[in-house]
Order: sequence, then C-alpha cells, then structure tokens
Amino acid sequence: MNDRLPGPALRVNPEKTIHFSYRGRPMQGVAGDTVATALYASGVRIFSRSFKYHRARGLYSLDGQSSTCMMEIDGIPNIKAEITSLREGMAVRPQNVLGSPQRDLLAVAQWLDWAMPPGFYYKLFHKPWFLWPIFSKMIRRAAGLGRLNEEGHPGNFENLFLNCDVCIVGGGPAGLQAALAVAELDLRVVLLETRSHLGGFYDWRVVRSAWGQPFWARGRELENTVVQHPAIRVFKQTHLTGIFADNLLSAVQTGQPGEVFDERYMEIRAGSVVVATGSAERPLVFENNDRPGIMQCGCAHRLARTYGLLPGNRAVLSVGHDLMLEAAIDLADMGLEIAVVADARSTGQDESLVDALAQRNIPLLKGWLAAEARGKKGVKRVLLTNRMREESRLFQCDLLIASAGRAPVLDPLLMTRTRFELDRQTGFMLPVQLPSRLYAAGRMLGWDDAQAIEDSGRLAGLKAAADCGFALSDFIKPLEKSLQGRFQFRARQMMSRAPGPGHKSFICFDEDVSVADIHRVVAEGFDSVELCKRYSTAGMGPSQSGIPGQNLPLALAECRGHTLESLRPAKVRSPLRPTLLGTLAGKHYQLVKQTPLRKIQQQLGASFVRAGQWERVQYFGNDPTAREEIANVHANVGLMDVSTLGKFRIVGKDALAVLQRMYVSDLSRLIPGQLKYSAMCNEDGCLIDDGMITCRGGDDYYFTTTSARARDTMEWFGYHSRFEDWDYHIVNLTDGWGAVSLAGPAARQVLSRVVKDDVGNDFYSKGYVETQLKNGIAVRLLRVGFVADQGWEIHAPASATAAVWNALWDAGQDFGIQPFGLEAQNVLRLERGHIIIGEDTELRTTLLDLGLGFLWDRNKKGFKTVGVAALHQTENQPDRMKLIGFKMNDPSQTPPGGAIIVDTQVRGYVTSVRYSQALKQSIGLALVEAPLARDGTLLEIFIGGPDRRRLGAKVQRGPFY
Amino acid sequence: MQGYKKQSPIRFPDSPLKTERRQGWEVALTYAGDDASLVIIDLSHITKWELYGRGLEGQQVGPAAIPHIAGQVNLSAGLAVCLCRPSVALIWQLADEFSWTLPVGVKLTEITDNYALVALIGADGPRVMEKIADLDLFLPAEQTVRFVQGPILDGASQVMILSSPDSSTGLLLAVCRGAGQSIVDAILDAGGEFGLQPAGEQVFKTWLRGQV
Repeated sequence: MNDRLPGPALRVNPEKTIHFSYRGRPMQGVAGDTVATALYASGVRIFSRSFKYHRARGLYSLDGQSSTCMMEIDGIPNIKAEITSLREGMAVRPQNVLGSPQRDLLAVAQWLDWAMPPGFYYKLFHKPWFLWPIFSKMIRRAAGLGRLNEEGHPGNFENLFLNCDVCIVGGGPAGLQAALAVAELDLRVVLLETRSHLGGFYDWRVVRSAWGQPFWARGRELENTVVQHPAIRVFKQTHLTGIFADNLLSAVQTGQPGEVFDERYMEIRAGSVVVATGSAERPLVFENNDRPGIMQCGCAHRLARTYGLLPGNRAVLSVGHDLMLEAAIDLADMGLEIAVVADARSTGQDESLVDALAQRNIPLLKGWLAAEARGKKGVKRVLLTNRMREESRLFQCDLLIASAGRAPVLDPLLMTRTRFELDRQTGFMLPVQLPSRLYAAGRMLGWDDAQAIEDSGRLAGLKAAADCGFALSDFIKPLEKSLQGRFQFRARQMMSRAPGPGHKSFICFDEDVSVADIHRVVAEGFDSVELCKRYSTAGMGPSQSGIPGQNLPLALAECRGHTLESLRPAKVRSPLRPTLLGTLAGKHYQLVKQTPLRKIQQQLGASFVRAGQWERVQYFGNDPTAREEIANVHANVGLMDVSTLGKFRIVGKDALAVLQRMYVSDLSRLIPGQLKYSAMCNEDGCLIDDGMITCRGGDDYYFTTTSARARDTMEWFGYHSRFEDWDYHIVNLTDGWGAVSLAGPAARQVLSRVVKDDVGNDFYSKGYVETQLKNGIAVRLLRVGFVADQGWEIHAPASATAAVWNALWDAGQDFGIQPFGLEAQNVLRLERGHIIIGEDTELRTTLLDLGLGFLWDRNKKGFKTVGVAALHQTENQPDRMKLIGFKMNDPSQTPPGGAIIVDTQVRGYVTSVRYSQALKQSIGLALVEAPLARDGTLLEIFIGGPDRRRLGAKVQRGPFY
Repeated sequence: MQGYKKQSPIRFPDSPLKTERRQGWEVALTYAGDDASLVIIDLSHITKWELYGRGLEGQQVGPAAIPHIAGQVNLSAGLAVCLCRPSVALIWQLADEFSWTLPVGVKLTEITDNYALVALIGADGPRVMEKIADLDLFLPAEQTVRFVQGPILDGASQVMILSSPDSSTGLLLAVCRGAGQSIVDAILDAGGEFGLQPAGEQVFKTWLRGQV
C-alpha cells in the first residue's frame, strides 16, 4: 500500500517500495517507513495481544513508549515495531497470540481479570505446598513477552567507545541549539537522537514559526547545520540506556539499512552532558483506553505528516494542550473528519486555535474528556463527559485521538542525583537541582514557545562548554536574563482521567495494570510509588517510565487523597530501553596472548589451554596425561615454553631497598652470577608470589614472577613504595623476553652445544649467566630445578626466542629431546614437592603454613618487608592449615583435586594430585588442619558421587622423587 | 653477521609483495593493499627504548629534546621522543638508524620486543579504534602529536597520534607483544567497513616524511 498523502514534511519516499511479510503474507511499505507504519498503511490495526489479559492492542505512540507494538521481527521477539525501520525482506509476526491477532484463543483471560488482581501469585498456589512446583511451571509458561528462539539469532553487534567534550541527549530544537553552541567553540560534541531524524517536534508541524518559515523547515535547517558541522557527531536511532557516575553514558544504536551493524552498544565519556529529551504526551486514562484505534495525538499527526497516512476516517479528539488543537486543525485540513474535540482544560486555550476550529465547524467541548471507548477490537463509539461526569455524550468514530496533556521526559535525569519538584505553573515535575556538569534544556524544563526552547538549549550548551574551560559568562548571563519569566503555559492540565471505577482503565499497558488495580494495591498497604510499582508491576515492563511513569504517581496521589506536591516520580533503571543481549555482548573481541613459540609448538602437535590471558600448551600429541613427556624429562631432556613467566628489570640506587621490602629473603648479599629463590607475601603474610632474583651488577637487578602475578607486580611495587622517595625504575619485560625451560639429565650436554661459553664446572656453579648462543643470540641463563635436578631457563628477546628453541631442539636431537607442556610440568613439580601458587595455596595460607619459612630471613631489619609483621603474629598459632604431601595407600587410586579430607568432620582438602608413572603411585598435596600434618599421619579422603567412599592416604614429608 | 631470524608477533592474512632482511627482521616493504585509504603496517621491528632518570625533561636525545609535559611527543628526523611520566621517557626510532647520545645519568632499557608496533594510517583510523578501545583518539582538525597510554582490549598499550590538516591521520599503536596478534585481528575486523588493508613499510615512510 504505497499511496501516501503528499506533504512538505514527509520522511518517506513513496517511490521506493520495500517488500516484507506479515504472518507469512507478502506486504509492501516504502522507504522511510517503520514496520508499524508500513503495517498500518496495509490495514493492520491489531499489532499484538497484551501480556496478561490478551487484550487487542494497536498503534498508540510512534516512539516506542509501550509494548503495544512489540512484535516478532525476523525471529526476534519484543521488537518495537513503531521505532524499527522497515527493511527489505523482513518477516513480521504478532506475538502473545494463540491463533491470530483478530481471534486470539487466550483472549478469554480478559474476562478473568477478577481472578488475577496484582500480586495474586503471591497469595494463590502456595497451598498445598506440593502443588507449587506444578503451578510455578504453569505460571512461568503463561507469563512473559514473546518467545525466544533458542538457537539464537544472527546479527552483527558492535561496540563503540566515544569520547567527547559535551554529549547532547536529544536532537530536538533545544538539543540542536545546544550542540551548535558547543561546536562553535571547536569542542567535540556527540549528539544522540532516538528517532531516525533530527528536529524533534518541529519536524511534522506545518504552521509558521516565529522565524517566518514553517516549523518543519526550521527543523530541517537546524538539522542540516548540525549534521554538516565537523565538530558534531550525530547518532540517530540511538537510545540512551543509562547515565552513570562521571558522565559515563551508555546507549544502543539500531543500524539502518546499508549499515554494517544491526545494533551496537555505545559507551560515551563526556566532559559535560546536556539532556534535552523534550516532553511526551501524558496518556489519557479511561475505560478501554487500550483499544486499537486509540492513539496519541502526536502519533496521529506524525502518521499524516511524516508518513503520509491518514490515521482514520472519522475521529474524536480528547486532548489537553494547544499543540493538539493545532494537530486537530491540520488533520482536518488533510481530510480527516473530526467529529468533536474535547479539551480537558476548561479555559486557557489559544483563541486563534479555537477560532480555527470554529471556522472548520469542528465542535470544541471545553472541560470535557473521553470517559469510555466502545467496540471490541477497535473503537466504534466514544463516550465523552465533562470533568465531573455530570454530562456525557456519545460519538461514533473509528479513531480516538487521546492525550491528557504533556509531561517532561525525565528518564535520563531520574538515573542521576537530580532533585525534582512539582512546578505550579506548568504542572510539570521539573529538575530543580542537577549534579555538576549535567544540564537540562528545552521542553523538559517547561518551555513552551519555540524561541525559549531554542534559547534554553543554547544556554545549556554554553554552560556545558564553560565546564570545559571557556569563559562564557558574557554570553550566559544575557541568555539567562532573556529566559526569565518567559513561560507561556496558558493553563496547566493535571487531570489524566475521567471519574469512574477504572476496571479497564489502564495505567500500564505493558503489565495490564488498571486504575482499579492501583486502588487494590494501595488498600493492601503498598502506598508509595516504589512499593506500588513493585507490587502492582506498573512500570516494571519494557517501557519503565514511558506510559506508566506519567500517570502512576498521579493515580496514587488521587487514590490516597494527597496533594500533587507530594508526587515523586518512580525510579528508573538501566537499560532505559529494552536491549538485545547480543547488543550488550557486542563484538566481544577476545584478547588472547600468544607466546613467541606458539607457531613452533602448534607444529609439534600442541593442545592449547587458556591460562589467564595467555594461551599455553597443556600437552603434546594425544595423551592428556603426558606420560611420555614426563618420562622423557626423567630419562633424557625436555623443552618447555615458559615465556609467560613474569620478567622484570629493576634499576636505580634504591632498587635493592625496594626488593628488600617486597621479598622475605635478604637480598643484600646477592652478587652478580648468583641467583636466589624467594617469595613475596601480602600484608597478611600470605604467599602471593615466588620467583628468582639476580643482580646483574651495580644497582641493576633482574627477577621473575609467576605468570599469574606478572600483571600486578609493577603496581604492587609502586603501592608498597608510595611513601618513599626511592630512586628506582622497574620495567616489565614479560612480553619482551621469551623463556624456554630445558630440563632433564641431558640438559647440560644440550646446553654445552648451543652456548658460546664452556659449560664446565665453573659455569655450572653459577645460578645466573648472561652469555650468547653460538648463533649470536644474547641470552640469560637461570639455573632452576623446578621440574628436574638438571634444569635451566633460557631467557631471550621475544623476537629471538623461536631461534633459541630451534637451536636447543637441534642440539638435543642426539639426546632424545622432546617438548613438554603444563600437564607434564604439573606432575614433575609434584614429584619434587614444589607448589604452584594459586593451586596449592589460598588467601589464608601464610609462608609458614606452606612450609616455606626457610625463605624468610628474620635478621633482615629496617626494610618493613611486606607481610613480616603478620608472619611473626601467626607463626605460633596452633589452629592453622598446613600444606602436606601425601601418598595414596592404594597406589592406583587417584582422588579428584579438591576432594575433602575427613574423619568425623572435614579436616582439609586436596590441592593437587596426580598419578606418578615414575613412582607407580598417586601423590598429592593437601591443606589440612595442623594436627594432621605430622609425617606418617593416616588420612581419609572422601569421594562423593554415586559410589561414596573413603580412600586412605599417608602424610609424607619432603619430595617424592 | 647475525645468524638467526627475528620474528614479528604480527601475521597479516595477506603475504607481502616485497620484503627486506634487516638486522635479523624480515621487514615487509610492500603489500597489494598499499594504495588503500586506510592501511595497517607492521612496525614491530622499529627500535624502541625506555629511559629512566630524574630531570629528564628538556634533555636532548639526538635531534629531539625530551618534552616537558607528560603525553607530549617531539618528532624530529624520524626520532619520536615522548615523556610518559616524570622520570620516564620513550624513544621510538621511526626512521633509519642513526646515532644519538644518551643524556647523562639516564638508565636505558631496550623495549623493542616488549611491544607489537603497528601504524594505522588514514582518516578513519580513530573510527576503527573507537570500535575496540575506550581511548580518546578522536581529534579535532588541527596539527597534533599526542601520546596516550591505556588499555586496548584489556592489553596495556601506548598510542602515538600524529595528524595534521594536510596529511591523513596516523596512529602508532604499541601493544604488549603477546596480545599483538589478537589486537591486530580485532583492528582488521573493525576496519573492514572502512576498507582497511595491510600495507608495507614504504607507505609508512612516505607518510612519515609528510609529518616531519
């Protein structure tokens, strides 16, 4: 259906057809349509069925303020059709429907509303208790909006991280003026607009503005200026989802046809923020106010002017603002028959508009409003009454344009620490105290004339720019002065519903909450906005403060007989608009760190695992137990990539002092060529890291840490020396230097073939050697016995580490060299009784608990070594856990890691356990209560699961191999 | 004569058209995508140094002086010198080798292998980066040489931004070497919509001549 009304403000191109399907039937829309407008143009009037009562719902607003137009689009449920741009080939289906939207078999629920008052599920179904699981499943099946495709859905979801000086939320006239005011100072502006075009409420109005041109033309002029400004970045179809501390904003942008993403999640860090979200129509509440054929005034007007669609044939208007009178006149001029206009305001209308209605013979009933809509699946008649319901009249129509007036869109400010007060003049809840660097502008502040709206935007923009360091008081003060006393509200309109019982007068379309429900909830004692919201669920649906947020406080005040000044808006939470989980997940680029030896090891058949950020080799070949790798290290020589070890240079005249503070050992006697194993504790004396330290000469030291600790080491050093004026510098060489572990009886022979030096006894007596390989690579050799008696770590610049590996590999061929991975390393170190920090330790295990007290030099004085005070305090505590080694009584039994050690109660747990092929025995480490730590103590290890049993083990001190 | 080959942490999906062996590195000189409007270039072979010493500010390093303010970069004769924070400066030797003298009392650590260094040259470079990193790289149209430190995909990174109204924007991204391939893969993916292509070192040198 491509016939559209002509008009200057159209945002659709009727010449360009877009094909889509609805319930499998082919349909057509035009370029610029939303899914909802295309359906409306094709004659669809019932878009969905409601959540609870399955009432028919149609097009109500065009800004996605309720769930009435939530549909399943391309297999994704809960997509708001009125804000989703139509794309070629879209498949659209109604949701919450059993049958068809016209004939929904579940619609019977609307006659059972008496049985489903708010909170009914809290009261029913709990007795008898054994039936609750059944009811629970039934309720869960019946509840919810739409149905997820469990196979997921395709889509391209991206992230965008923006930085700017000022972020403007809202692309209406105030937002546009704010953006221009900031950008003229060459500051960077990010402007977010929910609609697919800028201009706000100017965009569809054809009446002349104070500037002589129609409002729509003024809007397009501002839009073009903003879009072309190099300092302003405009993001349309972008919904703000949250404002957080320090002006961090989150938003979601929907991709338009031709863009590479379907949705993207945005994070914006702004120096200042201007919120110019304007005002929205406050829904008019009356009996059956949710029927298809009832829509907001702006919706009807925009359908006609923006999309070229006459919303009906014969309309009744029940309104409360001059903009709506203007809309009635314009719609009548476009050919819509207006039966009557009811204005809830008794006085205060713009007389020129009243005259214009009279000239068109459109009756105007002042102080009247809609009380009831009649018709089952659409509007057929409307009952209008005066404010006290003393008189009433019935009008036939197929369209009811209903709106109680206007109210500011406060959602973004409700997420901040803004203080609000009811303004007597406008009847609006207005922000009276905003957090620093946050400004509001435009109609959300109550400004009603166009010049004031634009000026307030400019003022907010200048204030935001002033936060960025500009002296702008000469511009700000005159604007502030000119805005004083310029409110042009003719009459405030707070009435949102005609008197009546309100059983089918819905406050919240999302959750089917009526006025009568609110009365019930208050009667049960939930009488504050927040409690009422939670218990009744009004505003807990996808719209949050959209439709329900406007009227819930009013209904509550009316119900409790409170004054309007007592009103408080309900809180809102992020995301302010429903968002796809895929969008929140975003592109999800994964940072995986690779060692310089990844490619070589891949070619050798490595199986990789993630170890923190690193990708490491678990084992080579097909044997996850790595028995051949282990045996080869025992018998010959093995090669392992240990590039992930933390590697640091610390240099400076106070470098030693820093090391003395961090490490428990005394490093003052360390001489070049000497290597020392030591440990770092935290303030509680608990072991956090171990590694090797060497002095390269003078005040230049090189040390290693565990892989897991490498990232935190520099920060740790900085933190614990922050009050000292120490002269030192630490360089993290973890990525810059690769490392290879050469271990096994033949390690010395292999090494002697690759290094330039003579690997004689003199060489071997050293713990640390800086030398060169025969191919010229400068290396650092550290003698380390973590997995074998004969073991060296060869450290080399990362770009040359592959060459080091290759040299060792070639040299080791005569000695049976093979690579080994983490699994083999785990068994080999266990055989030697060495711990792995994080696996055999926990947050509460001190150095002494782990049997590493020999590392602690008690004679070291004056360095305030981290953790030493706690070690003194805890060393004689009798009830500490101790790390012990154990052997299984049945050598073939291997309990799982983490298994608990018991007698009559839990006494500890296994931290590491493996079967050692070399020992023909299962061995492990465990943390147990101190009395069980004595050598030879018999332990019982509990095995859970289907065959619950206890396995015997015996404590054994010292290395196993 | 060096008897071994140095390896870059970066592998592009395309193979270079022309390479050169330089101090052990296999440097890619040209790629098929050299003419693209947005290119990424592997510069991991470029020598980088970290200087430590008190009172570094204003001291001369070869043709360039160490800036007085952290985050500022002095670029002269292909030598980029940046003050990271008081007492720590960086030197990136972007152009060919030449000798430079070390200020007195300064500790020097070569950190060439600590980082994978890539150049992202083209007006859309910041647009690509804002898809993957929360770093403030969006520049107003003015002459700028800046240095920014921060995470890219949770990996510690250093970014040097060079832009001028007369030549296209260039970002030099030094990311921790282990994460280099991950980050480059992410940049290539994010840059797809902007036509990002790998290019050779010659493109970088031509662009750099326009900057200095």
